[in-house]
Amino acid sequence: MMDADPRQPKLVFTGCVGAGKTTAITAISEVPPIATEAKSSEEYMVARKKNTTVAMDYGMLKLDDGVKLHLYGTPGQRRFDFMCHVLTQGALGLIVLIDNTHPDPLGELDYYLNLNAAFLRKSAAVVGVTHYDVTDSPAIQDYYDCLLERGDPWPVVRVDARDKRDVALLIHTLLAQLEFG
Amino acid sequence: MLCYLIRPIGFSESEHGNLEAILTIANGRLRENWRWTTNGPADVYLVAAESSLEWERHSAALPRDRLLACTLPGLNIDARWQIRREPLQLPSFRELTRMLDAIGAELAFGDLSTASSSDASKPAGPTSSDREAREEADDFYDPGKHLLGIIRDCLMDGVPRRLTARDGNCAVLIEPERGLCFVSDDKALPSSLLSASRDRIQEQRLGSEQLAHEISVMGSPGMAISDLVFIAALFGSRGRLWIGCRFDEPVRLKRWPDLRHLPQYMEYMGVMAFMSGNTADVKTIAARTGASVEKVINFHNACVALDLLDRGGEVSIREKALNPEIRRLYGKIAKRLQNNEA
Repeated sequence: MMDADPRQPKLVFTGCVGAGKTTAITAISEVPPIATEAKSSEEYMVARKKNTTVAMDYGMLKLDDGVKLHLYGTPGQRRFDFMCHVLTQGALGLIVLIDNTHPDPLGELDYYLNLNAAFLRKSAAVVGVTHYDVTDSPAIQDYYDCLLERGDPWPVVRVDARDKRDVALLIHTLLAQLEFG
Repeated sequence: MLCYLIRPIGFSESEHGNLEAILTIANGRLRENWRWTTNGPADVYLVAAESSLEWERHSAALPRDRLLACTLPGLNIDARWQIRREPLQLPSFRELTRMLDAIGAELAFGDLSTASSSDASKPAGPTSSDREAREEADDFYDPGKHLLGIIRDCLMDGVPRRLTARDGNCAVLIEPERGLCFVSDDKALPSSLLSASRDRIQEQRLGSEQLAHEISVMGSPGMAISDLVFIAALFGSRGRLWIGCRFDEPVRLKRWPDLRHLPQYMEYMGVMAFMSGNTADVKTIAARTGASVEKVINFHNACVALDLLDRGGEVSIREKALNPEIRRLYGKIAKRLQNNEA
């Protein structure tokens, strides 16, 4: 596992289709995000989301000293899962977005934490629950119960991926986990 | 989990030993932690009362609302808390645990600190005002004597209330049925209300029509009462540890509070992250995160109010050797995000 490079820092957004990865990167990036999209094929999402990411999303924030913080979003479809391993190489941490309207949000959480288990042994994650305003079931407590069962200490934050303050909150939380957790 | 002191009175030495053994076993099943003390003030006094005369003698010298009478069957006394025992026997394990849980629930909100009407006529001594004296002397935060006490009453009786700080203009409407509250100034709850003692808060019970009218006049979107509870403990504690808690007790965060409703959440980020991954006492948490002890205590209390803490576990701290360059990078990213938000 490659260590994070402080000169090329990057954060990775992952999670299921429609969780808001592209939207979150768009909300916070200071450059127009680069998205690689194709027609959505996930059954439960087709009505809400016509297109979905197939390779990656990319956004960027320039820090005070000119260093660029790279923001990557993984594709949500299972067939592109290998991209997760590519993108997390050398990343600082992982932001897992879960769509609360998904038929099995807790299963998705479990899936993405398992998918990134090797990376998370040396790093940290934060879980962002989106579309909580549409349905509040499962509740945030259910996510914590799920994490407790797994033995994971990650924080769970209810967010609106369109709101840059919420996305910033996710990143602040992740940084705190990395530094103090 | 909170820790309460219980002092047996009127029991023989061998009964003391047996009671202590019962309590040791019972602690595994109780919601709070109870410890015996043989002298000094306690949260509850377990009194062996074999006769009315004996009971009167004890209740005259001790705060009556803190007495748990342990009486023989058939003996009727004026005791708020009472358990039975057979002659020459101790109270049953089940009855003792049930009663201690009931008392613990009230102690957690400081109900027993409020003197009942019968207490008012009692002579001076370690009466219910003893709790107040303890809070001041030991500088503990007693939630029942502040805004939290009123919120708790409101949730218990289901009657909406309008709360106003006597020295402020801000009002809070509490609607227990929907679990919501409404603040006249939704930008900030004034410290005059959050840190005021209960007797400095004007409390008005509202009917449903009056409540609906006041909510519409206020025009505030409303917030969950749990958020108000968290904020009230956070800002009302002012560096005083929640009464019944210990400075040296290791704690761990079970789950994070809802950060979107936590004002100035950035100040607590490091504390929350450390507390979620480590089990340590408040002073260690402060030392490891660079936060002041006062800030850690305030956050600790807010978590106690919402039952967000695992208490009393073994100290467990993961040593983290962070590259200084990476640490600086985190600071730069955080600063950049704050600029972005502004």
